[in-house]
Amino acid sequence: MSDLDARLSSLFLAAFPGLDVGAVRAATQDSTAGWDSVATVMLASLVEEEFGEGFDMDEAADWSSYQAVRLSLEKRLSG
Amino acid sequence: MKLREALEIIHSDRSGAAQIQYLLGFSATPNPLQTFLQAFLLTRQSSLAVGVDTLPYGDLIGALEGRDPNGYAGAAIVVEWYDLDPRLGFRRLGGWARSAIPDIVATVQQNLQRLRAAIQRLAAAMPVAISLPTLPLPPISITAPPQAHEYEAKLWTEAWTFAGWCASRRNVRLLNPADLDRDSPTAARFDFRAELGQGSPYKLAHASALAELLSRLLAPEPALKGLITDLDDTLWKGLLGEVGPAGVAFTLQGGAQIHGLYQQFLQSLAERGVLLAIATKNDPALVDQALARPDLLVTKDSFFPVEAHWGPKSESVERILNAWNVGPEAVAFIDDSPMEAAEVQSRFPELRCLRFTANDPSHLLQLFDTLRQWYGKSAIRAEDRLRVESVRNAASLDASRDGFLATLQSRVTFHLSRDSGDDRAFELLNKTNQFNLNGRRLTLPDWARILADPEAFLLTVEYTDKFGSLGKIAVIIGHSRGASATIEYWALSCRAFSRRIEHATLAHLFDRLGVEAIALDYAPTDRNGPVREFLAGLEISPKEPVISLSAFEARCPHLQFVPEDFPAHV
Repeated sequence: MSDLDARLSSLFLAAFPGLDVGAVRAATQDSTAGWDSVATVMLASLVEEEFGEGFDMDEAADWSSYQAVRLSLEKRLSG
Repeated sequence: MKLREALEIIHSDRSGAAQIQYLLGFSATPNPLQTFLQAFLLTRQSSLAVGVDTLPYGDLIGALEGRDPNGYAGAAIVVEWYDLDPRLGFRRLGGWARSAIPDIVATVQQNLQRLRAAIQRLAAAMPVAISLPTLPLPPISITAPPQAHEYEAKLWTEAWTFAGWCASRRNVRLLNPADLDRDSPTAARFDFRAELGQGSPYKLAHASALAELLSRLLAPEPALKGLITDLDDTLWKGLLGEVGPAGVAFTLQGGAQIHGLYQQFLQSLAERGVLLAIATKNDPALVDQALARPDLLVTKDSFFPVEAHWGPKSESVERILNAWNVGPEAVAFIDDSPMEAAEVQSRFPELRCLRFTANDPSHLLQLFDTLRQWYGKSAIRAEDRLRVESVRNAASLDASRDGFLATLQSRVTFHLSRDSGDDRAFELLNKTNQFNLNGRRLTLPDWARILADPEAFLLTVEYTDKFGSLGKIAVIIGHSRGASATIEYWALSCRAFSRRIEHATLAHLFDRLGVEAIALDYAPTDRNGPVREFLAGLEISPKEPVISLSAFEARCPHLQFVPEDFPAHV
């Protein structure tokens, strides 16, 4: 698991305590209990705190899965 | 606190813990402030499961006006300028024209009046913590920085007038902006992007700092009760044995201002009911002379006891704690010598030892800040001010209990009611450890709920003797049904031990309630040995703690003189 995945996974586990550790990277909005718009705002705050990158709600609106968040973050971090 | 850490605290297992609920009055998007507040409240109340309810978005005052206060342990209200007039925010375009300013000021005045009424209603049912605007005013009027505009001055005048009202109200605790400024720099508070994006105006660090301070207002640590201080190079500059009583210094002229300021601070603590004592290695006669100096900034009689001898300071501390009848966990010890502090600390690990550093003035401000945190209380009651006098009097009494009881000219006053507004009784029940029937604590909502039951009773006890009043020293809550009663909560201040007030209280309950038996909801705790001894003295089984009127009268012959020595006034 890459460093980015390790850090991002831990944020998902903090935001969604019912999520199984092994299933984090396959998590989607539809399959994850409690992942609503409020949780997306929380996730954006967690990402900003951990990676120092802030996301507008327009950008975070596309975060429908772990992989979508990862892609969005990876793009930002690679400049 | 990091947001991730806050979420982990919130999601930790609290199954089986009693649930209490708080209200967060905040008109913006509640998270992350709600998450931080819940996490800090959980941290401060580790045996409880804490929930935090929020209000609908966008109308703080209207939502507070419509909220039922019942069922909450407390409320945190966070006011920003846009709550007082939306034109003072960034999410509404109501115009910043110069001509609008008088109307904005008038609207702020009106809304602060509404807010007062809403807070007054909530504070009648629970503690309310409130913070004034933490974010800057928008640039409504263009003045070149750093010049303030008249409108800003007018708005702050309104806010501070409101703050003065809040700070003077029972059950309302105003967050001190100076403390928030220390923990959260003003320039790093506002998250403009998040405010425009999702109506969430605070940077994470600011939300965390604000939540922590609000949690401290809502769930404060119990204040320490006593402070033991050294003398030489602590209360004053100089070694008393070398320079004599006239030679010790504590003023600017003597290069010893830091000691004078320390004396002033101690005097202030004494006037708020904090017990002060002295532990010094000195000649007691010299100490007596030095403490009698009229220019001392803390009065001699503020200290009791004064332990002056050449033995270990831990022995002095032990005698002081015994005289106060207070445990070491409720006391701080201050000395300039690290060796003395270490010696005391090794004997009393729970005692809080601080070093007085005379050669570093900045250290004094840190010391004051620490002491303010340890001894600060949301309100000072008459009983707090009586504490020193009662301790001194108790120590001077005849050691023979029966002899002492016969000479006290005691007067016990009982008040039987269901008054849930009795703050002192509520506080006494929740802070007393030693004579506490079962160690259980009550939240304000539970307190109110129990006393709303028509079969419930609240008995409070006040005590006075020839040495003066101890104020309200006991509280009992129970239920009376038919020929029997049950006592569910019973706390008696340690200041009132050894006077058989507990026996007089049972006698009074038998008499007033007209019952034939009283059951006690006793549970042993680590600290409530005095209750165990009381039960044993009346031959009440701790496993089946019930006593009948006939058994009580047979086992408690001393109460034959109650009508004479313990006149009960209801």
